Amino acid sequence: MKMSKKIAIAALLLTVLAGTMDQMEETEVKTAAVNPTDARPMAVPVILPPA
Amino acid sequence: MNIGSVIKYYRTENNMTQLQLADGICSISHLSKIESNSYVPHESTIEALLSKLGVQWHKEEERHKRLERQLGEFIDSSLHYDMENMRKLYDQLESENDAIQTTDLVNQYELYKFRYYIYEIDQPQAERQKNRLEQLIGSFSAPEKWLYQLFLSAYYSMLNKNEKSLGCLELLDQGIQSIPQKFEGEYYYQKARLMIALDRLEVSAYYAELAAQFYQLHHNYIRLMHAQLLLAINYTRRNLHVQASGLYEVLKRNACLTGQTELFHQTSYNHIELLKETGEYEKAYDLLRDLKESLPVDSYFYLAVLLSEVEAAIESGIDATRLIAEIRAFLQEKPDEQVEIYCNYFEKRNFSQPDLLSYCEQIMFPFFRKNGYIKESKKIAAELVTYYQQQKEWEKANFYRSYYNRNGGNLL
Repeated sequence: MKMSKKIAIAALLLTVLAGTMDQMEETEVKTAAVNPTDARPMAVPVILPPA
Repeated sequence: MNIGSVIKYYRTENNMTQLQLADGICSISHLSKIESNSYVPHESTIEALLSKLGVQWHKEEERHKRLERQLGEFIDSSLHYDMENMRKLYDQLESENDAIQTTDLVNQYELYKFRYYIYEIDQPQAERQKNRLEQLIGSFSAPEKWLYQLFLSAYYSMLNKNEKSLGCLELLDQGIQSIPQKFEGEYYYQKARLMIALDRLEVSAYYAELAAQFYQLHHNYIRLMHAQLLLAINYTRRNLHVQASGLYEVLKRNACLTGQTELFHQTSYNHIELLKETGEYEKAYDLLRDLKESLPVDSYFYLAVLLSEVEAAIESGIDATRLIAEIRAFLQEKPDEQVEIYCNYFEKRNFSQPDLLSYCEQIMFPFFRKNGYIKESKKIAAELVTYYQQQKEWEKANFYRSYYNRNGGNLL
C-alpha cells in the first residue's frame, strides 16, 4: 500500500475516534445535569424529631 | 438494698467518724468492711449500728420501695416521651439523690438521668452525666451496658457527631440478639434517625418502618409520631411526594390533638420543605411567616425558619434583604458559623454574584464535610461535579463524584 493511502486511513481513524470521545464526554455531562439532587441548589437546615 | 451504704450514708449525715460509730459495737476495720458492702454483719451488729444512728429499718425499706416505684415511672415516661411527667419525677428523685446513691437503684437512676438530659438537649449536664457514668461502668450489668451504648449514641446524635453515634450503634449491632425487649423500638428509631442524618435514605426508611410498627404495637403514640416524621422526611427526600404529604397531614393533626406543640412545629417546618420541593414557594413563604410567629426568637429553630423564609422569598421573587438583615443582626449577638454560611450563600444568590460556586467550593463544602452535614455536602458536591464536567476539568469532577458516591450516592 502506498504511504499516502496509509496516512489517509490513519487520519480517518483519528477523526472517528475523536468524534466518539467528544460524544462520550457530552453524554457524561448530560447524565450529571439531570441528577435529581440538583432540583434545589441548597437545602435549608434540617430539623429532625428528638433523638 | 445495701445495708452498708445505708449505714455510711447516715453516719456522714450525722457527722460521725467511723471510730465514734464503731465504739462499743465493733472494730473500725469491721465497720469499714460493712460500709463498703464487702461483708454481711450479724443481725445484732446491724441493729446496734442503726439504733446508734437513730435509723428505723422498716422506714428505710418503705422509702426504698417508693424510690423504686418512682424510678420505674421515670423510666416509663422516658420510653413514652412523657416529658411533663419526666420533669416532675426528675425533681422528686433529685431531691433524694443522696438516698438513691445508697441503694441498688443507683445505676438505673444515673442512666436515665443521662437520657433525660439528652431529651432536654442540655449539653453541659449531659456531658457531666456521661463522665459520671464512665466512673460507674465497671458496676454495670450486661443490659445496663447495652443501654449506656444506646444512650451514648443518642448523645452523639444530639451533638451532631454522627460518625461517633454510628460507632456506638454498630457496637450494639454485634449484640443485636440481646436487645432488651422494651428498647427494640428505640434502637430502630435511633438507627433510622441517624441514617437520615447520614443521608442513607433506604436504610433509614427500613428502620423507621420497624420503629413505627413497634411503637404502634406497644401503643407508644408520641414516639410513633416521631418515627412517622422521620418517614415523612424520608419520603420527601426520595421524591415520594404523595406519601409524604399524606403523612404530614396525619402528623400535624395528631400532634395538635395530643398537645405536642414542638412536634407540630417540626412537622410544619418539614412539610414546608415538601412544598418547596414541589415548587410551591409562595405558599411555603406564607406558612413560614406563620410558623415564625410561634417560635422563641432566640432559638436555633427560629433561625432555621428565617433561613428557609429567605430561600422561599428569593424563589418567589420577593425581596429578601430585610430577612437577611434580621439574620445578620442575630449573628452579631450570637455568632453561629453554620447559620452564617447559609446566610452568605443566600445573600450571594439573591444578588446573583458570580462567585457563588467558588464560595460553595471554598467555604461551604469543607465546612459541611468537616462537621458531618452529609446531605448538604453531597448537594454541593453534585453541583460541582456538573460544573467541572462542563469545564472539562475531569480530575476535580472525579474528586467530587467519588465523595458523593462514597456517601451513599449514585452519581455517574
